Amino acid sequence: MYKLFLCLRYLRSKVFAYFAVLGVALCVWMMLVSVSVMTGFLNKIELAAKGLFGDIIIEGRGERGLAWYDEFIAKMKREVPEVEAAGPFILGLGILRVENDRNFRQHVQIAGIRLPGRAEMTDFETGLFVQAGNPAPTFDPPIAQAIAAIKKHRLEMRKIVQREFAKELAKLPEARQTATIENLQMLRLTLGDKSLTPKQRDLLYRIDNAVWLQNQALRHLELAQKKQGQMSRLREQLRSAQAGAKTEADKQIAADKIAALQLQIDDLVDLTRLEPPADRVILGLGIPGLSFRTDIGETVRYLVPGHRVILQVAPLGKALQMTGVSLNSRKFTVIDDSRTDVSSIDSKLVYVPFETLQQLNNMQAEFDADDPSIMLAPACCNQIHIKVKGQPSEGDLRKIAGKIQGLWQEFARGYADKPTLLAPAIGDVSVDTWRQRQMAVVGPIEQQRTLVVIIMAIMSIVAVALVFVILYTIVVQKTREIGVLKALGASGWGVAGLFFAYGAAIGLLGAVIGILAGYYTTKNINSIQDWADSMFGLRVWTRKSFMFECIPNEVDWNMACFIVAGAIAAGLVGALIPAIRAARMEPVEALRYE
Amino acid sequence: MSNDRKKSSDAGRAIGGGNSAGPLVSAVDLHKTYRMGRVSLEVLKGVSFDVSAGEFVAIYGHSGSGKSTLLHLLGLLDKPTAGTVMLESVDTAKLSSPRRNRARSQDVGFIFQFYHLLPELTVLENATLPAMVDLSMAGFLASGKSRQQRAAGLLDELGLGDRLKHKPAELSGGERQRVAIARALANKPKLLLADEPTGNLDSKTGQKIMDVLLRFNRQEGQTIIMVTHETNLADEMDRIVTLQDGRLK
Repeated sequence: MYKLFLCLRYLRSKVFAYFAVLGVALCVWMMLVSVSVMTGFLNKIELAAKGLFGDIIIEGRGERGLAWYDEFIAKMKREVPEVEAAGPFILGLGILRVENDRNFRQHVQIAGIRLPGRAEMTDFETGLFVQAGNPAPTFDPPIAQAIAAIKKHRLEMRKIVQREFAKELAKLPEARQTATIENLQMLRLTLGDKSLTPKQRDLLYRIDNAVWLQNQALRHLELAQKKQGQMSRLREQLRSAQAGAKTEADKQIAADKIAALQLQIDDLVDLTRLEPPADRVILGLGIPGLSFRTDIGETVRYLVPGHRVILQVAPLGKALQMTGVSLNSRKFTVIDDSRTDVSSIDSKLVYVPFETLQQLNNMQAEFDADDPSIMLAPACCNQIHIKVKGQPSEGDLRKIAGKIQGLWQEFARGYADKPTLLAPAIGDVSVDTWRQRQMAVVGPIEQQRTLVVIIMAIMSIVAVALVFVILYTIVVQKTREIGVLKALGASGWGVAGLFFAYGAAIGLLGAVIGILAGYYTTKNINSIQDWADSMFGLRVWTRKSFMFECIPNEVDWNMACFIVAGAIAAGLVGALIPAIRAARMEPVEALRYE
Repeated sequence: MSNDRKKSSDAGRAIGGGNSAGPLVSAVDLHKTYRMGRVSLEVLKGVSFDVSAGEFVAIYGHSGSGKSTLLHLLGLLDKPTAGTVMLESVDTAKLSSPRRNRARSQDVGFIFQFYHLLPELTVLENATLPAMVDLSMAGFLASGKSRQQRAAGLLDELGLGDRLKHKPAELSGGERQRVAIARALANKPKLLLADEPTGNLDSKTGQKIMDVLLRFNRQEGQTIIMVTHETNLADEMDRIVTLQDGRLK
C-alpha cells in the first residue's frame, strides 16, 4: 500500500521528477512525429504506386512495345488464377493547349487508358471530379453529372469568398451580401479595390476569372444537353447510310448524303464543343495554369468539363525518322479531372482513351495498302498493368510476376511461325512488382526511417540516463527514509518496488504527454508547416521535392504502442540500479547514512 | 486495560503467542563486530540480559559504548555477528526475511534521536505509515480507516490533535518527536525501542517526552527499552543496564 502512496506523493512533491517526465515526453514526441510522417510517406507512395499502376507491371522495352496484348491478357486471366484484372497502357508525350488561348502551352504526359477497365486495376475512380467514386467511370458520363459537379464546385468557391472576405461582407447590408457573393464584380466595386489587401485583390481576380471560364463551359454543356437527341439521331442516320451502301454504285449515291450528315454533325460538335467519346480527355488536377490553390489548399478550377483542349502528341510509337517528327494534333473535350495527390503525376498527366492515343502515337495495327487483309504490324501498347487478388505480400507478388514472365515467353513462342514483325518480342519484356519499380524512391525512404529510429533510440538512451540520474539522486537523498521504511517493516523488494513504480510512472507519464503532443503535432503538421511558412518563411515540405501535396498526418499507432512500451521500459531501466541499491541496504546502514 | 490490549493484539502476530511465562525479549551473548577495511571494531563483546513485559529499561553508557548498536540488534534493524535475540522465546536469527520484516512491523516500534519523519507526508500520514507498510492494498481499504483513527487518537493523546495536516518541517523538535512516538506505537508493538529520544531536545522538552513515555509504560503497560547517556533520565526507570566497552557492567 505504501508503495503506491509514496510513489504518488514523490511524483507530486519532487519538481525534480518533472524534468525526467519532460525528457521522456520529448523523446516520445519526436519519435512519434518523425516515424509517423515517414511511415505515412511510405504508405502514400505504396498506395499511389499501386493505385496508379497496379500490383504488377509488364513493360515492353523494345522499340515496338508490347504486341498482341489483348490476346496475352486473355491467356493470363485463364491461366494465372491470382490475376484479378489487367489492361494495356500507353504513355505518350505531348503538348497541351487550350482552345481560344494563344498563350497557354504545357508539355504533358499522355496516358492511354481503357475505361471502365482501368478502375478495376487501380484507384483511378477515387480522385475524379465528375465521376468521383463511380466504380465504372467512362469517357462519356451523363452531361448532367458534369453540370452538377461544376455547380457543386461553385458552392465551394462561394465558401472561399465568404471566408476570405467575411470582414468586408459584414459591412454590407444583409440583403446585398448574397447578391454580392453571386456577383464578384459587384463585390469589387462595392468594396473598392483600395480597401483590399493585394492578396485579397489577387484572389478576387482569380476567382472572378474562374467563374467566368466555368460559366462558359456550363453554357456549352447545357447546350450539348439540349442537343443530345438531335446529335444521336444524326449519328444514327450516318451509321445506317454507311452500312446501307453495299455496292460501288450505292456508295456513290450515299457519299453525298454521308458528307452532308458529317457536316451537320461537325457543326453541332463545334456548337456544343462536345467531341465524340473517343476524343475526350481527363486532365490531371494540378497542371500549372489550369487551376489554382488557396492558402489552405482548396483547389479552384479554371478549366472544367465542357472546355476544349488540343493535344499535340509526339508519335514515339513507331516509324521514328531521322528527319524529324511531326506532331499528331487533335481536339479533345475535357470531361473530368483526376487527383491522385501525387504531385508529380497530377501536374503532368492527362488521360485519353487507349485506342485514341494508340493512333496518335502511331502504335495502331498496320495493313497492306493494297490488300487490307494482310497485317503488316500488330497494334502495340507500352505496358500491361495487372491487379492481383487480395492483399498479396511483396514475396507473393514476385512469385506471380515470375509466373507471368514464364507465361509471356511461352506465349511469344506460340508466334514462332509468324513473320518476325508480327511476333511479340520475347527478351525485351520485363515483369516487375510495383515495389521493384518504385525501389529507387521507396528504398532510401525505408533506410531513412530506420536511421531515424536509430537516432531516436540513441536519444532515448539520454532519456534513460536522465531517469537514472534523477532516480539515483532521489534514492540517495532518501536513503535515511528508506531506512525508516525498513525499520517500520518494509521489505527490501517492497522498497525496490516503490522505486520501480516511480520509474515506470515517470515513463508512463512522459509517454502519455509525448503521445498526446505527438498526436496533435502529427494531425496538424500541415497547418504547423503553413504557419511556420507564413511566420518565418520556413518551408520544409515542398510539393516538388516530396511528390505529395501535403505531409502525411496519420499517426502510426503500432509504433505508438512500441514507443509507450519503450518509455516505460526506459523508466524501469533507469530505476533498476537505484531500486536495487535501496533494496539491498540494511535498515541500520540506511539510517546511519549521512 | 493494558491486558485487554495485549490479548487482543496477540492474534496474528509474527512472533510468539501464548508463551508469556518467559521474558518478552532476551539478548543472548550478543557480539557485533564492524569491519572497516583492514581494521575490525568489536562493539559488543557478549551481552546478555532479559526484559520482561511491562518493564521500562534504560540502557545507559557513554557514547561509543555500543548502546545504540545493542538497540538496533534488539529491534532487528541489524544482525549480530554472534549470539541472538529471543523475542517471546523465538530465536530471531532463525526467522526468514519476510518474518523478520513482519516482526519489525508488528512487534517492535522504534523512536530515533533525529525523529526521521518523512518530510513529504503530513503528521497524520507519518503516523499512519506503519499501518500502510503492514497492510496490502486490499487490507488497507478494509481496515485503513480504523488504523488511521487509531493514529489520530494517539496524536490527539500526545497533544497534536490540531496539527494533523501539518508537514514535519512546520513542527518544533518536541512535536516531531511526539509524532515519531505516535508512529512507533501505531501498530501496537509489544516492544518500544527508543534511541536517545530526548538527545536532540532541550531539557524541558526532553522531560515532557520522558513523561509521555513513562505514562505509556505506567498506564498501559508498554514495554520500553530506552538508550540514554543521561543519568537523571535513567533514574526514573525500572531498571538500568549499563554498557561499558561492549560489555554489561
